[in-house]
Amino acid sequence: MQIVAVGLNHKTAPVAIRETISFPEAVVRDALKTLSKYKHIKECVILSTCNRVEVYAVVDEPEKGIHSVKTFMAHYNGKKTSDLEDHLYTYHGRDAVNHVFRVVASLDSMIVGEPQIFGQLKDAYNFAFESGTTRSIFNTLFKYASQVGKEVRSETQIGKNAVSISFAAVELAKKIFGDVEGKTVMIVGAGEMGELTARHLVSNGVSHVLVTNRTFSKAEELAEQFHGTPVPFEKMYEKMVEADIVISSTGAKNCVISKAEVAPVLQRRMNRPVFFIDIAVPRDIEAEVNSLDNAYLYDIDDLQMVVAANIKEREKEIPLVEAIIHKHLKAFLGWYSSLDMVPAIISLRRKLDNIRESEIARSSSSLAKLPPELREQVEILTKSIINKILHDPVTELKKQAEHSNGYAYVEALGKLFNLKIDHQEK
Amino acid sequence: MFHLHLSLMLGVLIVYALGTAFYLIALKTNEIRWGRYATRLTYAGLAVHTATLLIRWYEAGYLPITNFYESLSFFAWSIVVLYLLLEYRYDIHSLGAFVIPIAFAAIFYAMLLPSEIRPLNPLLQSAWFKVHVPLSFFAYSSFAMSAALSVMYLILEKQIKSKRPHAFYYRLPSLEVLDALSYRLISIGFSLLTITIIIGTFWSLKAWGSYWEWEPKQTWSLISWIIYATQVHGRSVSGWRGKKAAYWSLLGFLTIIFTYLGVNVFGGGLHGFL
Repeated sequence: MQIVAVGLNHKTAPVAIRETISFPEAVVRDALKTLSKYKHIKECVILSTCNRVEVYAVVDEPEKGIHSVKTFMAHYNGKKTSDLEDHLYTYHGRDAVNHVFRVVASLDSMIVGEPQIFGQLKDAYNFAFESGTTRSIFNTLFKYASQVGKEVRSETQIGKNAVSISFAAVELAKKIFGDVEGKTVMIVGAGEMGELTARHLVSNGVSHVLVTNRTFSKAEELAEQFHGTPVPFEKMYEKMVEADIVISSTGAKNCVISKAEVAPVLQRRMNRPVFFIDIAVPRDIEAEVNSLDNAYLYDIDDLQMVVAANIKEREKEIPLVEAIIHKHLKAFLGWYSSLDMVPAIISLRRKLDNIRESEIARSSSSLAKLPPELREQVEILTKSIINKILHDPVTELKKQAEHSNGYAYVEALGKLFNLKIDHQEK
Repeated sequence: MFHLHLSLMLGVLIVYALGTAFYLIALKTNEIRWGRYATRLTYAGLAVHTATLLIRWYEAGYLPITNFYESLSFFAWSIVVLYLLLEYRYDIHSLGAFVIPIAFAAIFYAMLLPSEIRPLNPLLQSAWFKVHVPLSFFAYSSFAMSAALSVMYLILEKQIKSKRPHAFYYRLPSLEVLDALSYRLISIGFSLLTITIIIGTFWSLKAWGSYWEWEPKQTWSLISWIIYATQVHGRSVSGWRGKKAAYWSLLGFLTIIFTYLGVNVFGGGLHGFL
C-alpha cells in the first residue's frame, strides 16, 4: 500500500488548464465513485479549488496507481492524459504525506497562510468519507492533517497580518486605535475600494458611518446601506471632527482634502488621532497631511508596502510551521509503518514457507527413500532454518515499526523479497 | 544570614537578566513560548526577590529601605510587581522588554554598593518613614513604567508615520492603548507622589521643625510634581495626548531619575542617606 498525490496548481498550470480540470462540489461524489473503480485505487480523496486540483489516493502499486489517477483526471474532464502531463506533479510515500500537510498548513498556497485551504481540504475529505472512498489509511491521514491545520493556526502567526489592501487598512486602524469598536468612519466619495474598506471596518465594530459626496443623493444612497449619516459636501470638514477614520475614494482629478483644512479639524478633536486612507488614484488627500501630529495618512502605495511587509512577516513563520508538519509527519509515518509491518512480516514468512514447501516437494522422490523419522527430521530442520533466519530481521522490524522510518524498512523488505503486501491481512 | 541574602540577590540578578533576554527574544521572534518563559522567569525572580526583602527585614529589624543599596532593591521590586500586574491585566508582553531591564540595572547597581546592615538612623525611627518611603518608590516605578510605555509609543508612532513597519510594528500594542496606559500610570504615580510629598511635609515639620526645607530632594521632587501636574492638567483640559504626552512623560521621568539618583549620587541635603 502506498499513498500517492497527483495534482496541478497555480504554479504548474495556467488558469486556462486549471479551469478545464476541476471537480466542483456538484460532481465530486460522482468523480470519487468513478475514480475508485479504476485499477490499483484503494482509497481516494479529491481536492478541487480555484488554485489547485489534487487527487490523493492509496494504491497497491505506486507507478500504476499514479497512472490510473492521471488517466482519471484527464478522461473525467474530457482530455487526453498527454494534455496534462506537463502540468502535473506527483508524490508518493513520505513525500505525498508531507505534501498533504504542506497544503493544509497553507505553505503551498499562492498566499502563504491563507485560511481557506484548511476548510477546503476538510470538505474534500468529508465528501470522500461520505462517498465511502476512504478507509483506515486516509481516515487517519486526514485526522493528522486536520491536527496540523489547527496547530498551525493556533501556534504560529502565519495567518496573521493582512495581505490585502483593505484588510491592511483595517489592521492599521487597529494599530492606531486599538479597538475600532465605537469609532466613527467618514467615507468621502463613492469608490468601490472605499466602500469595501468601510465594510470591513463596520464588521470589525465601527459604529458610526458618515458619508459625503459631491452629489448629495449618492451620499444618501451609500449612507443608507451603512445605516449611516449623509453629510453635504460643504460640511465635510465640520463633520470630520467626529471622524476617527477618513476613507477617501473620489474620482476627482485634484486633491479634495487639504492640510490647511485638516489642521483645525485636528485641533478641534483635542489631538485625538485621525487615520486617513486615500484609496483614490489620482490621490484625494494632500500628502502633507501626514506631517500633522496625530494624523496618519496612507495612500494606496503605502498600503501596498504594508502588505509587502506583512507577507515577509508571514514568511518568517515558515520554519515554525515546518516544525509542526515534521512532528505530525513522524507521528503519522510511525502509525503507518506499524500498519504495514505485520502484513509484511506475515508475507515474508509465507514466502519462505512456500519456498521450503516447494523445495521439499521437488525432492519428494529422493526424500521418500528416507525412513519416516528422518523425513520428519528434514521437516523440522528446514523449518528451524527459516525460523533462525527470520528471528533477527523480525525482531528488528518490530522495533522499527515504532519509528517513523519503519516505513522505509517495509518498503525495502517488499522490494528485496518481491513481496505482495496486503495490509488488510492484519 | 547575610551571605544568604547576598547569594539570593545574585540569584535575583541572574533571573532578571535571563528574564530581560527572554523578553527581548520574544519581541524579536514573536514566538509565543518565549513570552511564556519570560513571564514564568519573572514570577520566579519576584518570588526570590520578595524572600530576600523579607529576610533583610527580619535581619535588620526595620523596613529595609534605609540606604541607597536597599532602596535600589526595593525600587526594582516595585517595578517588577507593577509590571506583572500590568502584564496580567493587559496581556502586554512587549512592555517586559522595556522595564525588566530597568529592574535588572537597579539590582546590578545595588550589588556594587555597600550592603551591610547598619543600625537604623534615628531619624527613620518613625511611623512616617514606613509610609513615605514605600509610597515614593511606588510613585517612581509607576513613572518608570509610564516612561517605558511612552518610548514604545514613540517608536510605534514613528513606524506608522513613516510607513515602514518593522518588528515593533508587529509586536507592540496599539498607539491608543500605549497612550492611555501611560497616562493611567502617570495619574497613579502623580497621586502617590502627591501623598508622599504631603506626608513628607508633616514628617519634615516633626523632624526638622518646618514644613519645607528647600533641600535638593524636596526641590527636585517638587519639579517632578509640577511637570506631572502640568501633564495631568493638560490632558484633561486641552487634550494633551500622543507624542506630546509621551515627551512630557519622558521629561517627567528624567526629573524623577534626578530626584532619586542625582541627589543621592551628588549628595547633599537632609535626604542624603536615601
